Amino acid sequence: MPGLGTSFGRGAATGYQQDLQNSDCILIMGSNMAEAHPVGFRFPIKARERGAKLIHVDPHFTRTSAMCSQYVPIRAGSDIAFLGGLINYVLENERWFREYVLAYTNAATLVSDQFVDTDELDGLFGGFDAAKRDYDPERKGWHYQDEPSTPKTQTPPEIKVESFSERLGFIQNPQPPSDPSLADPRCVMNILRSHYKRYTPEMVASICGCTQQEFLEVAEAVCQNSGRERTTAIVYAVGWTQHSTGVQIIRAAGILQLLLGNMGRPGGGIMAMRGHASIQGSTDVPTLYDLLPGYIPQPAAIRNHNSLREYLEQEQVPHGYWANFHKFMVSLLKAWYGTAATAENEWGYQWVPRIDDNYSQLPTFMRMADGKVKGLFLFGQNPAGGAPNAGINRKALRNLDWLVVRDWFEIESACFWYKGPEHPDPGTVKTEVFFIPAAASSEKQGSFTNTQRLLQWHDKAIDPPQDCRSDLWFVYHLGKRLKQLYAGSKELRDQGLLNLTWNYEYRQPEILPGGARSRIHGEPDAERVLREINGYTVADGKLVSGFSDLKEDGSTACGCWIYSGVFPEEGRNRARQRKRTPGNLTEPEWGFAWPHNRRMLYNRASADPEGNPWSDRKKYIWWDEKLRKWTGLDEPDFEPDKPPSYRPPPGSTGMASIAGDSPFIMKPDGKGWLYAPAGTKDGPLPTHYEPVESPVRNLLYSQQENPMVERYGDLMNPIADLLDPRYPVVATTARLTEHYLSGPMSRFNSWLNELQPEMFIELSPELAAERNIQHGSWMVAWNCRAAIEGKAMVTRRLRPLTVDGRTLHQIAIPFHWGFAGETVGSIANDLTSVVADPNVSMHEAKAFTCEVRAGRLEDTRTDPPLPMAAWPTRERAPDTPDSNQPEGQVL
Amino acid sequence: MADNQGYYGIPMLKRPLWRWEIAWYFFLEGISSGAFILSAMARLFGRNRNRGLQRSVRYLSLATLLPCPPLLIADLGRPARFHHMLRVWKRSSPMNTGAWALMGYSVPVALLAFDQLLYGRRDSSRALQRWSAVEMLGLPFAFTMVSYPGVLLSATSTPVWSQSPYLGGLLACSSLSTAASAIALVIGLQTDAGDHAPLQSFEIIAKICEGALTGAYLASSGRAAEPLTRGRYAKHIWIGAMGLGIVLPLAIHMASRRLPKRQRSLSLLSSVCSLAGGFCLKWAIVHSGPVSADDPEAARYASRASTSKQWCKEQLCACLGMSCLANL
Amino acid sequence: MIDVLLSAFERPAPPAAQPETGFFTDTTLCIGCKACEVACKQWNQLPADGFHWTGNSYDNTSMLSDTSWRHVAFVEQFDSGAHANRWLMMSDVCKHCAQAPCEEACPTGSILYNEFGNVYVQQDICNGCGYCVAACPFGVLDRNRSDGRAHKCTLCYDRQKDGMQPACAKACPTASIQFGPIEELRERAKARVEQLHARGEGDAYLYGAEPAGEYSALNSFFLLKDQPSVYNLPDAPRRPSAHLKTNYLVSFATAIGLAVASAMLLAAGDRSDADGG
Ligand SMILES: Nc1nc2c(c(=O)[nH]1)N[C@H]1C(S)=C(S)[C@@H](COP(=O)(O)OP(=O)(O)OC[C@H]3O[C@@H](n4cnc5c(=O)[nH]c(N)nc54)[C@H](O)[C@@H]3O)O[C@H]1N2
Ligand SMILES: Nc1nc2c(c(=O)[nH]1)N[C@H]1C(S)=C(S)[C@@H](COP(=O)(O)OP(=O)(O)OC[C@H]3O[C@@H](n4cnc5c(=O)[nH]c(N)nc54)[C@H](O)[C@@H]3O)O[C@H]1N2
Ligand code: SF4
Ligand code: SF4
Ligand code: SF4
Ligand code: SF4
Ligand code: SF4
Ligand SMILES: [Mo]
Repeated sequence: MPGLGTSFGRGAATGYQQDLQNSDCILIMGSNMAEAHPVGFRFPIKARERGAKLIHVDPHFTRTSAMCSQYVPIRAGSDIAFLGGLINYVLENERWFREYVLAYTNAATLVSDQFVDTDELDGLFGGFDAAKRDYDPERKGWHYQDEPSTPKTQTPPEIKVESFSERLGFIQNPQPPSDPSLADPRCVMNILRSHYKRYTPEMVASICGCTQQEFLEVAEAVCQNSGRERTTAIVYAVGWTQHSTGVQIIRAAGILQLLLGNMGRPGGGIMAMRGHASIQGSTDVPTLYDLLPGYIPQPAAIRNHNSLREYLEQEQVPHGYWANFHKFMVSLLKAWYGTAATAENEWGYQWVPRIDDNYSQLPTFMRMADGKVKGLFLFGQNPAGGAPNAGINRKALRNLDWLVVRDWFEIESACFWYKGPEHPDPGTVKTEVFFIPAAASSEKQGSFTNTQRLLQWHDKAIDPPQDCRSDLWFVYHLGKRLKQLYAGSKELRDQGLLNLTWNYEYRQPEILPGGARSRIHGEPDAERVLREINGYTVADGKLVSGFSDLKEDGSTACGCWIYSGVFPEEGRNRARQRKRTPGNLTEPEWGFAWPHNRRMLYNRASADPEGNPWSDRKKYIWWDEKLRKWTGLDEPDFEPDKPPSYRPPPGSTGMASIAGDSPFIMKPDGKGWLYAPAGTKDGPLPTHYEPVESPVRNLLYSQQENPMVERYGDLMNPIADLLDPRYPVVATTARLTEHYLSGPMSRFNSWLNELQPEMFIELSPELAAERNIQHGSWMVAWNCRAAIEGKAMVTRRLRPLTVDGRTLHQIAIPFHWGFAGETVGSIANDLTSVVADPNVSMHEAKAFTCEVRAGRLEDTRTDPPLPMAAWPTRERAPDTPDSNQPEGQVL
Repeated sequence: MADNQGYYGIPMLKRPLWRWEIAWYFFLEGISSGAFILSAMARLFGRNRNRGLQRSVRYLSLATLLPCPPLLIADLGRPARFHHMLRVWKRSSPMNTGAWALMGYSVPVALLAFDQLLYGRRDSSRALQRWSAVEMLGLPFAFTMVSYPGVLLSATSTPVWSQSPYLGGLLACSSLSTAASAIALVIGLQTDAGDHAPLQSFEIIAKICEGALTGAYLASSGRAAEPLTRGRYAKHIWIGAMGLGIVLPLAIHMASRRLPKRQRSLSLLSSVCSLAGGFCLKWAIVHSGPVSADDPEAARYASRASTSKQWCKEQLCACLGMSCLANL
Repeated sequence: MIDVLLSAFERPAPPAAQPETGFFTDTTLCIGCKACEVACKQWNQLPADGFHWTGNSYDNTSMLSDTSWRHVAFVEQFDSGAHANRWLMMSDVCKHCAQAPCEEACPTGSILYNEFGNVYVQQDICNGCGYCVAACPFGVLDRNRSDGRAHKCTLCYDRQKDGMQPACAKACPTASIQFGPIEELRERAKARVEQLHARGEGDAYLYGAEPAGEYSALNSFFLLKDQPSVYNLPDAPRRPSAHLKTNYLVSFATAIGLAVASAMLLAAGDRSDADGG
């Protein structure tokens, strides 16, 4: 999440959900928290019960809106305008937290004279090369004063997640020139003011479709509830990320929170609500093509990464915590290649594959649709329904030679060859599908890393049935067989595989909770994997206590440095801890939060520059002068004994270059970045662009959409014309509590299906009346990519908006249905397109255009659903055991 | 908060599960126990002159009682557990009371009928006397059998049943009047001895009473009576129960009085009409339950906030009104 | 065979009484997630009721039944007026009435108050007579088609016996369903209403916390924001047995009155007419 990373240093939610109950105001925007994170939503409710104001800004009124004090309707894809409006309101009315902003942000830092803002270039920043559709590194001039205009490393556009240093926003001078009086017109604060001065309440209302009054009420609420005594939190999820401007929306929230002084403080922060059970874990120990564990960049063939030395040099960041980067990299190689990794062979660096292009999901499936991918392993994913423009994804799957699907059910992505809206002829589909049943989470052990970076271990409750095996089992044995297959090979490219340390099987027989021996042969012991992730000293195999123990000389091995400390000593798996700490919401002994069990990031900012809490009400950690250390309710996200008065001596590097009053220790200057001189590809400041498909002209600039937007497969993936009159309706896709994603985890479960048994589309009574659509009857939504049908849910929860003086209709489509399972229905993702944010290749499923009509699709053939589950017990209606009847013991 | 809001028209109550078995049961057990009472009255006050009547009743009571247990058992969700009804003695449950009453009642009925069968022909008047004590003992059970069905229905939340205090009386009255008609029919079919005049007069009184009670019941049920007054079972009530069961028999009686000679066929017809009407009434009332439970508006009407005092007053008015009507 | 017959009549000593328990369902905290519905089905292994999309907001299970012991109601109130922009959600369940019509009606003694004071249907006793179905003024109970017995919320008797809280309350993420000793809940609920009133939510009130009219208190009671009928609850539930005496009286009076009339006629008839037989 570079949106957060660029602003604060780490791409993860800045706090923990329990802390939301400390908020005085919570702005929920781009998240449907009550429906998608119902358990975590108890904390906003607790805050509400303590008097906090809850605000939901969303295109459709949801169960979250129902629980909030204020609901503001907004047009999908207009969030930067809204947030920009808030920033402008804060600045115009001088509501920003002066001491905080001056001390902890780059407000006073001076930006290069070469910087040209969007105001002058009508929506483009300086340095745009229209031919290349890219900002030219030589000319853009976004840097601070006295910095070289081109950074040391520059990511080619093919690579999405930028280099390490870029991700952080590389700067060479940790103390760039600044003007604390904020008088200099080139200081960040003044650039910010002029950038956002167009975002007036009138402008916000006419772009977003809410009323000025609604907007002003929100603005007042966040301002009144920020400052020394009060804090406001922002909650977002994929209602923000799934846009061609997703990263910049989150950046805008970061700017607002920095200006209001809400970062690193109890009840403040930005709570990124993540998705799948361990999706945070899957970026920490990544399944991404361009990252190694712990956010270490994948070596790239198109950068100067030929040797380990060059790679390290290039990716090194001299200031802040990332200065330790080389220790983490060497320890990682040591963990992977064990004794084969030596100083002479660069710890096996040459065995690590290099990337040369964008291999994220969207382009990979585009290539597959072009027939350029032969085989695919699909582990727990359902692109035939869940991925944007799902029609292309199904086409892509039909173009494979072979496909291995490991799943619990025969999902859309496993039965696409004989089912689906295209009604394929199985005889003509060449893909050979191997369906391999997977174990469920209760049938295997392992850890989840949840939305607040908390690792929680779960044990195996029972053996998986029949041939189901854990994914770990499958990958482990696949690896073993591959090693066997390539045994003896002298090819360089095979050495990585052959030298991999690959020994995770149980040392003693695996015992189930009941005491019985497990039936599964060769099940790997997930705790052994966790131990390797935690790290150990190579000489004696002793576990390290945390990442500060890691060395660059090959004497330590560590599979993922940010998780280091999770298994600090024999027999102590901290992810397994379940001890409550009454009175302390951080619950430090419940699970383990990376890094180093810190529950709230940047928490140094909860104290003022001198180290005292900003207020008694909001105290969290503080400097204890007597003990000469930071203490409080949480692990300090700071060097524990660095006094507030510490000033880095000139020329210092690493953590020594971070001053005692600089809370953002990942940043080279230790500051929160209002202005991002580097780190985002589409500009240093968030700017409102319209979604790629929009019926509305950009009212702020003539640059209509994000100039850097990623587009794919022009023919397969048609996009509506600019302001296309054929598709006047704005559509967004959303989740329902009752279902899960593209549906496999819920549509094979009768208890969930009965709760939401059919695909429907939500629309306002006004739109329904215009198109003659009856509530509860069939309707069709279509655009240039596909047409889908569903039952019409005509409801006042959707309302027409007045945008740019015109009435504009929005519809909300749940994306949970498909053609496998007990309930079947049209796939919302057949309508969405493959266009993406330039920073992270996130698709734009949350805003596109379409048209609606009453009736059904022409082709009404549907795939028969599976039958509802039979009564799950042997007896037709279950008896409470007789011994449990108050009077019936004898029967 | 507008009035009369509901929840998508979804029923508030569950449908009672009783169907044809229970309608038949109420009809038959009503005849059985009603006849038992009339025969006992005849013995007590008719000074042994109604031997024919009593004889017929002994068979009639048994014959109409015999199908009752199977009907009741068939109605259960778990027929094999019929005897669980008798695990407890519970005054709050009219069904439990009814089950015990049925038990208590079937003993004398069975004894009397067997006695009649074995000894009746030889020694009929002695036989009748011998068992008079049994008959007296059976009487309270018979009264309960006559009285409880309406009370059972009333002690539910089904709007059409629960709004009025007269349902029990109405069904009791109908039981006695159908019993009288059944006796008349049996006697009429057996012999050509002419009408039993006191029985005939009783039928007339019972019919008038039944008419009045029907009116009282429907009026005091108000909106809740809709399935019977205007809804699916209105024709059962107006044509069946009122027309066939009350007006027509009364008319026949009137007419036959004017006739010079007694027409046997006419009185048989009158009895049959009366029985059919009584059956229609019970059928309609039992079957109106589910319809009523399905109507959320009726449920809201029935649960309208009204103090019990108010309720009593309303009922009293309805009662007075109806008795006036009946007297006219 | 005989044993089975007789065993129905055996009634072992009941377990020692425990403090009375119940539910306080605070609808102002309900997010409509239906976790309670699913938790109940899962714990009690109840089948799905079928897949019927109703279009009635997000409520597709419509009502409590023999196989749905929790049900979440959804009411969208978006018309202009005092309640614009409200989406009411309410998790309904058996009310565990302090004086329960179903218990009063049950002729077999299958329904009783267990040691926790909860209204409980003993499945080994119930013979499916259906009386409780018609008796309940909230439409809670129903007889199961396939097993012929009446079913409803057991208040997780089996869990309570093991010292656990009911599955639905456990699953509820926002503490909309609160389980506990009933007296404590009533206190808490009163305080909660006062708190809401102080906050300007004057429409909050308790439903069933105290006896009302002829109806007893509910041991599973609710905090509501609109009229009961909006949630498909009776505004003022009637207790069927409250009228039992009157009804018996009218009924017996009619029967006896008619019997007397017949006696009089018979007596008179004897004098005037010949023996008809
Ligand atoms: N029950 C359930 N829970 C889930 C999931 C599920 O499928 N079902 N999925 C999990 C996963 S993987 C994830 S990523 C999370 C996602 O959790 P959420 O992001 O909360 O889920 P969504 O419903 O997709 O989107 C949130 C809201 O964004 C709104 N929205 C759409 N476009 C815009 C916009 O342009 N601006 C603003 N402000 N709002 C917009 C939608 O109307 C919707 O209400 O949920 C997780 N939890
Ligand atoms: N239009 C639209 N599209 C979207 C979104 C949106 O908001 N709108 N949201 C997007 C988001 S945020 C996400 S995260 C994606 C999610 O999309 P997917 O990742 O495709 O998610 P699912 O559809 O749940 O598919 C997950 C599969 O994993 C299987 N599974 C579960 N557990 C295991 C396991 O332990 N092992 C194995 N092998 N399999 C398992 C499940 O049965 C299921 O089939 O969808 C995206 N698509
Ligand atoms: S499904 Fe799991 S992760 Fe999601 S809210 Fe419920 S408990 Fe939490
Ligand atoms: S709500 Fe109905 S089922 Fe529940 S205790 Fe009361 S009467 Fe019985
Ligand atoms: S159906 Fe069962 S629980 Fe209900 S009243 Fe009859 S015996 Fe009692
Ligand atoms: S208490 Fe138990 S049985 Fe009753 S609704 Fe809750 S989970 Fe279901
Ligand atoms: S679990 Fe709680 S919050 Fe969710 S629907 Fe049930 S009562 Fe409401
Ligand atoms: Mo997600």
